[in-house]
Amino acid sequence: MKKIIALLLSVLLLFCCLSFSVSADNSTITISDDYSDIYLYGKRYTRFNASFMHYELIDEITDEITLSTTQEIQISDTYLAIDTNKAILHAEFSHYDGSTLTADYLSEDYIEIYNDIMTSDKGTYVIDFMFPDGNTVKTEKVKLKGEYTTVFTNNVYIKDWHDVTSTSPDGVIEVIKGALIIGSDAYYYVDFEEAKISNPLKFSPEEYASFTAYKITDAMLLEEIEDAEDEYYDNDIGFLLDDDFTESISTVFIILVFAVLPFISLIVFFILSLRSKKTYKKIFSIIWISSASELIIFTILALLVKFYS
Amino acid sequence: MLGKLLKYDLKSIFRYWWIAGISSLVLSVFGGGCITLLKSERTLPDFIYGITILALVLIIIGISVFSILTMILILVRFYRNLFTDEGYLTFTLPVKRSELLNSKLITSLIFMFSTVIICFIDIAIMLGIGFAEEIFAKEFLETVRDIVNHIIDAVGFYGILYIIEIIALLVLSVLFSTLFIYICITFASIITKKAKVITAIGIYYAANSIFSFGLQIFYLFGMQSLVKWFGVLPTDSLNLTVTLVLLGLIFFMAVICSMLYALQYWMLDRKLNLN
Repeated sequence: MKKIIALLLSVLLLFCCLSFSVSADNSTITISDDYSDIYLYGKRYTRFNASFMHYELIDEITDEITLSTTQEIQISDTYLAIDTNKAILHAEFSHYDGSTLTADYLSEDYIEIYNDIMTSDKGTYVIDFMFPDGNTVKTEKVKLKGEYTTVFTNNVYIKDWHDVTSTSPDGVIEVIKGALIIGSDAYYYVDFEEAKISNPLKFSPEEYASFTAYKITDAMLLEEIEDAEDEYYDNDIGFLLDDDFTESISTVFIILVFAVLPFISLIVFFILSLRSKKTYKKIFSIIWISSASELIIFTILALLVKFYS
Repeated sequence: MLGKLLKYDLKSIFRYWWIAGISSLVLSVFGGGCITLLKSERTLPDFIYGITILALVLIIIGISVFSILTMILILVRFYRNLFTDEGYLTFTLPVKRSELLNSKLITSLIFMFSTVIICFIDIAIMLGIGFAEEIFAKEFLETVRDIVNHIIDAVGFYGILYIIEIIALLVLSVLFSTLFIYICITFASIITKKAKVITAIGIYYAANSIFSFGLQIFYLFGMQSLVKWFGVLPTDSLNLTVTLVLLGLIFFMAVICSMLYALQYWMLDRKLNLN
């Protein structure tokens, strides 16, 4: 009996030691000497170019990092942060020589998925208007690729642009494939791979004198984009009032403040200036002349808007 | 006579204004010192950090108080010179009502702009002392030069127009805010013989609330169309559009300020009774 108990205790002790060593192993963070891999919680994270990724870093990793002898001589400080899905690691290595190396790493579980999304055109493309929450348009790449054209930014006013992404089925990997450009005359799609844009997160179409893009021609897609855009520009009182009604009120208001009121003050103070003397005449003259000038400026602006719309 | 009126108005306000101005400049030097201390690499006791931060906050408040003090001096001068016992003497002078009003407005413009300049100098001193190493570094100066060149390239000749228009708008804004308060003080003096100051504050608060409400309504109902209309204009007409919009705003403000001036003048001329 004593021998059986001794045997059971030994097995239990061995099991505990093994568990401890495995968990110790899992809690160890190590970095390869060439910075190509980081081992974190027993998982391997491989260095990759995260310029095309949408991700949110939320947790700073404060566990101790086990550095090799070579690394201890070079690295003075390390900063590690991981995204919400524990798929992407962001690392900053400060060196004693004053230099800093910044790198991103992708979990081994998602490397294949990432490469697949990056290299293929399959799957759903999502145009995210960001506001309000969930304001997206889902489509396929073939519908985005309408008429191939060159856009000259001094001819076409760029109102706004939104990222077009392709996401893995579980939503963890979100790759930026291009951008939807809202121009003054049409909607355009810029494919970053075709346009050879290397840093999508800093993409700004206004910085280019011209760029090649696809003018979106698919009618259903255009309607969905217009609806999403209207929702994006909707103001606080939009849920109370219809958009067209709000715009009509807005137009009436602008005309009232910048056209009707100046016209009335022009007439009234012109008549008053004719009937007044001395100081009052001077003051009323200034008022009606300023009103007339304001009316002229407003008319010129209205004509400009009418000409270009 | 306007010159003489200006001379006495300026002297009256300057008597106290210069003390506040010098104090704010001295405070800014101390502020720069506090920033230097907070940025230094030496490890200082926590209570020193606490006192330094508190001192910096008080210094910033002190510099901000300077601009409020300027406004108070301007308004006190207006009230005392026209609506108290001193007002009896003022209205017996052989000067037009318009000259009295113009003198007050010109004085307010001079001191408000001087205060703004002093505040900018205060900020420059604080940042210059606190961030001397970074500001006078070659890279920062080159970055500033690049930004300025970029702006000049973007706006070109229109830059000069923008500067003129912005200065005009600033002048009209100061005139508007000054006339607004003057009207409240004058109206309070007309409708009540006692507690004029409290009444003026009440009238100002009510009028300001109505004005702010009107502005909110305009913003809510007016901005949507404006944004959409100007969105259709091409990029190369942007400078012309901005110039015209600023010009339109200048004339709009000129109309408002002229109307306020007319009302203020009429109240001083016809309605004021100091008995």
